[in-house]
Amino acid sequence: MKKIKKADVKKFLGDLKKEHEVFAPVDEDGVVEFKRLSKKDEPTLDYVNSVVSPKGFFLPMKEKILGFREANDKIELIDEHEVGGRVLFGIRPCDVNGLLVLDNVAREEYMDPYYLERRQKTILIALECVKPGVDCFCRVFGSGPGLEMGADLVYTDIGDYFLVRVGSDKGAKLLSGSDYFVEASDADEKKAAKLVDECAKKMSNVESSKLKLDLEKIRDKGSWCLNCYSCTFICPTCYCFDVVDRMNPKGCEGQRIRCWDSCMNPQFTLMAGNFNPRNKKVDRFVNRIRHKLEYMRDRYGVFGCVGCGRCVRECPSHISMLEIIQEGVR
Amino acid sequence: MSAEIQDALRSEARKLLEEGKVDKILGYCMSGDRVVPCMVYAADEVDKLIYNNRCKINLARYLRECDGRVGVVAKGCDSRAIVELLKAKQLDRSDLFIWGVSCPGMVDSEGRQYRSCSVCTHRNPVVYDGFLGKLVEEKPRLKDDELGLGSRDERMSYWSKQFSRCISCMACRNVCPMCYCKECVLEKKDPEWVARGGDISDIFVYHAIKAMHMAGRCVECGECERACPVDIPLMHLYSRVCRDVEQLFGVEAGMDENDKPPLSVFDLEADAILEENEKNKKS
Amino acid sequence: MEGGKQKKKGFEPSIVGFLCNWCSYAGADLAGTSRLEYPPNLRVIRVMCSSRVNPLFVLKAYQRGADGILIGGCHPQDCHYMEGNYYTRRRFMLMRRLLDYMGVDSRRLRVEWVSASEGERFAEVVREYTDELKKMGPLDLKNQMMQDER
Repeated sequence: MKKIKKADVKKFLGDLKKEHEVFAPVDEDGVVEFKRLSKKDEPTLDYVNSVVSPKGFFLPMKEKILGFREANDKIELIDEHEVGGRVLFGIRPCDVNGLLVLDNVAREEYMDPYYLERRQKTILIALECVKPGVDCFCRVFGSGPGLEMGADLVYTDIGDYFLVRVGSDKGAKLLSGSDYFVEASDADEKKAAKLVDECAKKMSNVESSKLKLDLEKIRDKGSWCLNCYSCTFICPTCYCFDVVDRMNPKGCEGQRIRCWDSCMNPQFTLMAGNFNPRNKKVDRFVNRIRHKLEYMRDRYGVFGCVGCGRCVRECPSHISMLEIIQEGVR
Repeated sequence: MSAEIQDALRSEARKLLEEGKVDKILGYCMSGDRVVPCMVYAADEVDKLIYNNRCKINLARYLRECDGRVGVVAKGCDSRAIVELLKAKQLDRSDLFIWGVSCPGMVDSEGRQYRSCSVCTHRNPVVYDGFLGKLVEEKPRLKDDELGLGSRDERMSYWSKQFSRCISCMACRNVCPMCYCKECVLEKKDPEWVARGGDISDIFVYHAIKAMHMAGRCVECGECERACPVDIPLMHLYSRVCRDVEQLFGVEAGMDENDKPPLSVFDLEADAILEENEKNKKS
Repeated sequence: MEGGKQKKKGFEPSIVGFLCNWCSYAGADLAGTSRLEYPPNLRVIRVMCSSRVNPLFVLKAYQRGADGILIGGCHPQDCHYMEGNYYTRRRFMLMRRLLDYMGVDSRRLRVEWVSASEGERFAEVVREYTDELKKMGPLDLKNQMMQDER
């Protein structure tokens, strides 16, 4: 294992910029977001997590899938999407696990080439947590605060240094090409393990394997849900999208666009003839919870919730996913 | 003082439920360490009702979806929202029993006062059937726009920057007590006024049209700002429209059930003078 | 109309005119039949009443590249529907202020009362407005916002 001085991280990222697009968390007026690092942006290393999950780098809020235009009585399709090599620095373990959940979805039956290409071309440098956020409950699903797999490099904060663990060949290559890394001692490794362990101990824990949802209680909670959609948009594992064809006002050309959609939207399940199988707010809420905690578990063998706590933090009615899980385990 | 209000609220609520004057009571209770809205159906449950300086949620938003006779706790902004909903015929006054409470100014879990509360000018309720506690002194309205944006270009770049964070999650619309339309123009698909997956100009259209729709209706409870995951200071927009309505047409939102919506009435002579003034105003 | 950032020099503004069927549109018609000349920058959309114009129309036009909006209605007290233009008056008075707050010059939204008999006045309004917009330069909302995004 290696380690890197905290002060060198910026230089390391600077070097990476030569060959990759580098994204890192940036604090702007108190809102932490993953941003493409330009010259003036200072990456922040002291943050709990970004407000919006980094799933947007793989499943963008909006993306042009293809362009089309009519020329010489023929319809021409233009494949415009192009992704270069990217590095995502500072992604938290819960979000890495969120991506592993999304991988299941993207690889199931129909491959999602757009998502998978981005996944393949992006190097993930994860940052393990040593200080839990108020709403974090990743320990419940074992998706944090430490990270076992999924990232190419894993950093752990051990004071003046970051301990660096290699997770893949791609990660190893990054290390070998850089002078900033020095060999870490056993004491460093022990310290990192201890810090992560202590962090985990500060978080609430329940036996998620014993989870059996109490639908009555969920409906009760769901009656307060405003269906505001914000949880679905900031969630690291919500992947629902909509595809729209849009014509340009000028000329016979247009684009096919894929954008995020939300199961909280009544139009999400609206069918022709005005029939809506999930017509009530509370039904939509229950569906979301069951999707995360039951359907995905049954289908992929992993929970659809990674315990990042974003929905807990942002819910205007303060409906807590953790409480739902706790009630289900009791 | 909140403790007094809380005690009074519980005993009043018990009385009303026992007398059968209301079917249920909409108030606040604790869930873990958070204050959440709750519904009390039976007299022996009233002790879960609480009132303190963490009760920031605007209950009018939930009231809209209640049926039957409801007793409701209303701070300044809740009561103004109720007035607005009554004006829009979204609520039936005879179904409501309102306990007015004055608001100490709400704080978040870390004890910081919310921005909407720090500029609030109506902490006392405007409509109620019973009043609990004591009136508090109202603060004067801030004269200047807090953002202090200078030139027009500065304003454009400020809002562009703010809107660039917008993830179009529509939480600002969905939590707004005033947004009661069954079908919303922001989500209409044919014609698609605000394009899904559009660019920043669509976000501009989204927020501008939402602000227009808040004219003379926004009660400045700040729910939109709190709901926004990326913290866009939306209330500035809506407050500005409401200040303009006050200046131009002399109506303040949520103050009187008998006020008419400012954009669906007119005053022939006064409007003509206004028009002349606006035209002569240096842009 | 979309796209293309024109240079200020030789800039031809595009104006979208929402004209009420009974007065302003008839006024424009009269200007035409009287062979009065006015700049071709105005694209007219006929509406039954000026109060039909939803603020959305205005925003959408800016988004699609309009530099100015002209809303034409009957003179006060002359509305075909008795009171439509009074609502127009209030609505856009407010909207001009909002636009200004959001960084769009409120002169880019103009409400004028032109009657069916005022062909000459209509031509004059368009001439004057076109000149004013020429001096102001393009709005180009989309690109302006994209530049400011960062």
